[in-house]
Amino acid sequence: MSNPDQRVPSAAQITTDLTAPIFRVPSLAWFGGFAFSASLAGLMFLCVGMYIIEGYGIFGVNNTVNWGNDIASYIFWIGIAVAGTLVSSVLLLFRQRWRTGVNRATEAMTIFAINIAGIYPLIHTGRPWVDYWLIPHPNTLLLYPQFKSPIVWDVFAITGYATASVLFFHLGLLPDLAAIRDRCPDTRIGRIQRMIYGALALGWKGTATQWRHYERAYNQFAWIATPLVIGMHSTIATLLAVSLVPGWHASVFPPYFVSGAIFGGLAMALCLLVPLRAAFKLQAYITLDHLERLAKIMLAVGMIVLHVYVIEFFCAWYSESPSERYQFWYRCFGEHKWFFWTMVFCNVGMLQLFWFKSLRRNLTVLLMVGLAVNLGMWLERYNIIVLSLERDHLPSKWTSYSFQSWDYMLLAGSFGLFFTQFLLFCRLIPMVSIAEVKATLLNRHRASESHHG
Amino acid sequence: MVDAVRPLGIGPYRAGIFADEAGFVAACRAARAAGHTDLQAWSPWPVHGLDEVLGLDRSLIGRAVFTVTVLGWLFCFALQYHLQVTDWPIVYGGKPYVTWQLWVVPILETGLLFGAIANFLVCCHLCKLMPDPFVVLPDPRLSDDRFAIALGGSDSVALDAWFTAQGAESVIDVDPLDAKGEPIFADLPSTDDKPNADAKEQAHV
Repeated sequence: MSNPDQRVPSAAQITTDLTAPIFRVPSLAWFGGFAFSASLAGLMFLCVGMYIIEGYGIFGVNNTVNWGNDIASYIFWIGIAVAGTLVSSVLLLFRQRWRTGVNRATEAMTIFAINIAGIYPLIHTGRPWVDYWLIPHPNTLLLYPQFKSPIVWDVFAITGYATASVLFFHLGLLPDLAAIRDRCPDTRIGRIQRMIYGALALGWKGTATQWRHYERAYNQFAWIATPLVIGMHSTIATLLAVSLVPGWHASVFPPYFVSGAIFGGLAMALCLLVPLRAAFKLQAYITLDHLERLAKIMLAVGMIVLHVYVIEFFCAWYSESPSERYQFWYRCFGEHKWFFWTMVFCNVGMLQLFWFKSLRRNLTVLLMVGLAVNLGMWLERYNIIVLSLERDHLPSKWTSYSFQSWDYMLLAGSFGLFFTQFLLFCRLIPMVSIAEVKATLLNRHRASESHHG
Repeated sequence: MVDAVRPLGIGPYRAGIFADEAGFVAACRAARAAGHTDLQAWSPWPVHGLDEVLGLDRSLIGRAVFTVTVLGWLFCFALQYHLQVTDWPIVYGGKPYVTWQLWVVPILETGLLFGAIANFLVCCHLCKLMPDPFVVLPDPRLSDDRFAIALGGSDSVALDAWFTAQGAESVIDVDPLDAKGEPIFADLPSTDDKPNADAKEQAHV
C-alpha cells in the first residue's frame, strides 16, 4: 500500500488539491465548528461591550493584582503570534525548504493571534476611547507618550509586528490568489469570486520581471520580521523585568519570553496542523516529516524553557532576597500550587515524550502534547503575572485573585475569535502555499529522479 | 530573422506554451542568445536561475528598503528628541532629557516598520501591482502548471516553427500591450554583441 505522504502530485494536482476547499460547499462539521467558534467570539464582544458600559470592575482584578487575566492572556496570544514568524521567516533565512508545508497556516495563525492580543492592552488601559493617546500626536494638552517606558516601546513593537505580518502574509499570497482567480468557474458566483480574488491578487501575472522583484521582497520580509519578532517579545519581557515585583525583576526575562513564545506557538501550530491535514486531506503537503521537525524544534525550545525555570529558582535563592525566595515558594506550595504543578507537568513532563521518534510521528501524541503545552503556557503566564502580584514586597498588600464570570467569557471568547478566523481562513485561502510547494516538491522530485537515473 | 530591436506593435507576437520547466528555461536561453530583448516569460512558480538566463539585473528593492529603514530610524530619533527635549522637556526619574539608550527600541521598531511598508509598496510598484480584478493571462494555466515565452518576429510561421523546435506544447497569439497600453515585455538589456553563433543560428526564424 502506498504511503500518502510519499506521493508526489503533479503541479495541476497541487493546485486542485489546495484550492478545492474554496470551490466546494463547506461540510456540516465546518458549519458546526464555525457556529460554535463564532458564538464564543460573540461572548468576547459582549464582554468588551459590558466592560465599556460598566467599567473595569467587572473583571476579577483588584488594587493589588491589577494585571490579571487580560495581561496573562495578552502575553499568551503574543506568544502564539511569535511562532508563526519563526516558522516562516527564520526557517526561510536558514533555507529550510520543508517550511513550505506549514508556513502558510502558521503565518495565518500569527495574524489571528496578534489581532486578539492587541485587544487586551486596549481594554486594559481602562479608557479604550482614548487609546489613541498611545500614539504621539499634536494635542492641546501637550500629552505625549513617555518614551522612557517599555509600555510605549510595546506599542511600537506590536504595531510594527502586526503591520509587517499582514504585509508578509499578503505578499506570500499573491501568486496563490492569482491561481484561484484563474480557476474561478464561469458562473455567477464564480465571476464574483474572480473579481474578489483578482482584486486581492493585485493583478499578479507571474512574469519573470515580477518574480525577480517578488522573491527579493519576500526574502527581505524575513530579514525584517525576524528582528521585529525578537524585539517585540523582548520588549514585553522588559516591561516586566524593569519593575521591582518579585518574580518579574530578572534579566533572564527577554530570552525566557522569546523561547517560551516559540514553544507555545509551535504547540498551537501542532494543534492546528494535525486536524487540518486530516480534515482537508493534505497528507501529501503537510507530511509526518514536517510535523516531526516541528516537534523536534519544540523539544529543543522546551528544554531552553525548562532551563530558564531552573534558573529562575536558582536566582531567587541566590539573591538572598526574602521576597524573591517567598515568591517562588508561594508558586510551588501556595494556594495556587496546582497551577504551577500543572504547568510543570504540561510544559516539562509531557514534552519528554518527544525524545522518542515513534511518539514524534504519532498524530495523537502530537495533538495531546500540543494541547498540554498550550494549557501549560497559559498557566505559565498566569503564574508570572498573577502570583507575582499576589505576593509582592509588602505583606500588608497581599491578597488573592480569582476569575469572575466575565474573565472566563473573555478568555473563552478569545479562543472563539481565533478559531472563527482560522476556520474562515481554511475556506477562503489555500492552507498551504501553492507556488512554494510546487517549486519545492517538484524540483526535489526531479532531482531525485535524475539522481536515480 | 529575429528582429532584435524594433518598435512595439510591428509584426506578429507569439507565445510558446511549455509543459516543463527545463524546456522553458532552455527556450528562454535560446531566445536571449538570439538577441531578443522583446521577450517576456511567465511561470506559475519562481524558476531558479531564470534571472541570469534572461539577463535581468538584481532588483532595486534591497537598496530602496534599506534607505527607507534608515529614514525611519532618523524619523523616530527626531520625533523623540522633539517631544522629549524641545517641545515638552520634563525631568522623569532624574534622567537627562536626551536618553538615547532608552530611545533605541522605538527607533529600531519604527525603522523596521517603515522598511516593511516600503518593501511591500516598492515591490508593488516595480511589479506594477494594483488591485485589478480583470487581469487576463495569455493562458489561464500560466498560474497553474504551464510556462510561456512571448517573442516578437517578422514572420509568424517561422516563430511558430522556432517555438515548436524548442519543445513548445502549443503556440498562441499574444498582444504586445496590456489592457493599460503598457508593453508586456520585460525590460531586458540588449544581449552581447557576439551572441552564441549556434544559438543564433537555431533561433533564426
